[in-house]
Amino acid sequence: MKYEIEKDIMTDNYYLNMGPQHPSTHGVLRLVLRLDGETVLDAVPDLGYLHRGMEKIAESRTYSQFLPFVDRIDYIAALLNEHGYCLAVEKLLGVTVPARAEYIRVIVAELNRIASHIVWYGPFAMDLGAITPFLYAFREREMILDMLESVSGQRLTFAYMRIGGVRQDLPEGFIEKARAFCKYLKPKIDEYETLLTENAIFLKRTKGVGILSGEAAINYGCTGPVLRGSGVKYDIRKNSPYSVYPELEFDIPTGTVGDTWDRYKVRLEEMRQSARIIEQALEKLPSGPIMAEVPKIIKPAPGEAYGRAESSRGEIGFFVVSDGTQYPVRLKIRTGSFSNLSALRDLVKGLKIADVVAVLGSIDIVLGEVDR
Amino acid sequence: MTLLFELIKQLIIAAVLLGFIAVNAMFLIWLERRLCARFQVRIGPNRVGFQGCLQPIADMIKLLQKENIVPKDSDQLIHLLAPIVVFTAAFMAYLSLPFGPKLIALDMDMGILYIFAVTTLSVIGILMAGWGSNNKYSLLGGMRSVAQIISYEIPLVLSIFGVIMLSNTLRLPGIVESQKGFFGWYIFQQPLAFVIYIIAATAELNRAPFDIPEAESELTAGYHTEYSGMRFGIFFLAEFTSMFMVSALAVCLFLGGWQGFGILPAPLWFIGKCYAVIFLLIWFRWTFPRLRVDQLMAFGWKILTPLAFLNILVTGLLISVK
Amino acid sequence: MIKFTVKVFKRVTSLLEGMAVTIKYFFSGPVTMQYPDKKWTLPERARGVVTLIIDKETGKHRCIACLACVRTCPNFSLAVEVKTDENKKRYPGKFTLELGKCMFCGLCVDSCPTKALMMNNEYELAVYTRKELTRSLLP
Repeated sequence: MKYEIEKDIMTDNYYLNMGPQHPSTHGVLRLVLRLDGETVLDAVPDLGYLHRGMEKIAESRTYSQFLPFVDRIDYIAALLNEHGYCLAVEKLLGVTVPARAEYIRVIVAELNRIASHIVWYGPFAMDLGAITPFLYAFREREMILDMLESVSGQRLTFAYMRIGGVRQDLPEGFIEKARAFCKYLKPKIDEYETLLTENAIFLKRTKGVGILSGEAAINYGCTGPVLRGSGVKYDIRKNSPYSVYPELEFDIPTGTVGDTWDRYKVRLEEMRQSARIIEQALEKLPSGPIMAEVPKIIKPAPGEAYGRAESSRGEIGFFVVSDGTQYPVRLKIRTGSFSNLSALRDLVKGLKIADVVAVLGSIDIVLGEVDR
Repeated sequence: MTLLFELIKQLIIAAVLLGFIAVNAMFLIWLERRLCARFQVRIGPNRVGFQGCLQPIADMIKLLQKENIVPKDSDQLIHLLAPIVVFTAAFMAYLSLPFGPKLIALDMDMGILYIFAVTTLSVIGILMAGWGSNNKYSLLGGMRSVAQIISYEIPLVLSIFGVIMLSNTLRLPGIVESQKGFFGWYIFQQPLAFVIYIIAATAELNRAPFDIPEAESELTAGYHTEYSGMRFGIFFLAEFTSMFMVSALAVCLFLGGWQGFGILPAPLWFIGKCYAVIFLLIWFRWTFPRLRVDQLMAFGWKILTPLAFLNILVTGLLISVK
Repeated sequence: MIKFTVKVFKRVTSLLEGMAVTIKYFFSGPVTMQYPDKKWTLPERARGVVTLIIDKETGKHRCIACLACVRTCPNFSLAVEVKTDENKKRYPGKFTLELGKCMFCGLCVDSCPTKALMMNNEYELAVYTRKELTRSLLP
């Protein structure tokens, strides 16, 4: 018997449906919030509004037919997905990709990573109420998309990589353009930082908000910038190297506390590192074929393979099981956003509604990737 | 007979003011959209009329044609009245704004006090909108708005105490007249008060970085989530009406009111200065992120209010030393 | 005390720095394009609608109705009716594309053994009825 006060007015918790139609749930995520006034007591993410059955579709498509679908898993970082998928199938086939093709893959993938982080930066600033940075960021993204369009022919769903190489060689003038862009991008990232990083209001909103410890991040299976923001130095490009990343020099930025601000900072730093990778790859780009000898009808020997790549949202992995026919028996897709999102519930407990938006923005989910 | 004459006179004044507000608000909507576009390296509306200047009219016609959707189980009367209350509160303040020497609808002895008393009424309208909509987002927005406006009212009023102490009057034309010459403007004698006033006024207006009541990324649209058609339009109108009002007050108190340096007539100077302040507000809005609700309260009570008191103290000391 | 003053000063200047960036772009002019008035030139490789390459002089195409494109299409958006002429040569009697199903991946173009297909630069593909989404590729 601690205290027994008779109340004339009852206060009660209430539920608030945030989404699936809400400006800052980044697509069709539904969050069921239990609130006490403005304080969040519980937040249950409700998924599945964008489920398209990608894994099932894969079972009725040939290996090369599934490639355009891979673009649509994480439509913001399509080339990174393609890279992971191609790695998996190539592993299954035992094909080695020519060096030039791998370099081209790395160049376009890193360009796509910058574009993807830009798509995170803009809306994240918007979630916090600053709308202008969004347009500045998209101005730079437009240039990347123009470049990628000149390479692949599309702006978002590229379908550029092929099993065993890439579809076409780099067009004329691309190398100069990419170099010029990398030079142009660096001061622009500094400008992004001026707008937010040290901004007093931004610091208030992000420092110490939504702290995810390194241990918890590992337990949740978080990967990518979310894990690195928590101070765990883990990057598939370094820890289990693939493609030509071992030949390129770059750092893995990590945070210290694991709060929203750290995750923000890690991503901005990653954009700089990506620009660095692109510059080196352009320098080292060897000449040679762009496609390995791959049969027209791909029929891998029975077996299984797991190919993974570091996407801009964490580990993107494809587990492919073949029974010797031209269709995969099973294809399991592991995506970064899904695991990262599972940490949200713990992160937002006890915070305010406005923080839910900030934390969700800092996790950077793409619903296409969460639901598949 | 005199009563009738007086009534007609009042009606004409009201109509003129209303006309000014409507035209001005539409111009402001266009201006804000164009300026925001420039800040965001865009072009902005430029289709309807010269440089898109008829865009607000087109929008208004669109809003008038739209269906007024009243949510189910909402408090009908309150829902209906809320926009009118909000607009009236903003509108009434214009009654004692001096647009020029003698160009004032009602020259009250306590004009400034009247303005603050009236504008605070808009809180009631916002709370009505939040409650009457039967929507949790609206309710949250209404609650936030009340908390915000009430706590920022205090530094706002305190910040002008210094000016009142210097000018020795509560009459707005009197305050304007007491600022003689460019360096007589109170902004030079009361810089801290001006900063506090601008910050608190931004909060009063629910504009970024203090736009938490209608924070679109959190509460979709806050208290006017459930409003559509012209009722939404009236909320919009009220917002821009009070925006001009707040900057007009800043001009009267700190920037020498209608006094200018050239051949231009006084009202033009006044309105020009108002637009300069509005430009500042627009600039704020399109640069800064938004504060959180508890941080907003902390900022208001722990920083702005003590600073405003400090300002009064220093001003009082300086006056008594003189 | 000094630390505190520096901190406050930094906070205030951080806000002013942000304002400096926005005002810089305020005067730098827009970077957007007035879309329907101006249109951009697409790169050579742009993948628009799948079309049969028609020889300008002879008015003939190179399609041999081998169905490679039909088989390779991930979304089954192509349909070819195979006909044979008097020399037992195959030719397409009907060649239709369901634009609503097409995802512009370009696999059909890659798979064509006679390089009879290409993707043009068309990108304004909105239509009013579902019927208009089905296109015949034959002239």
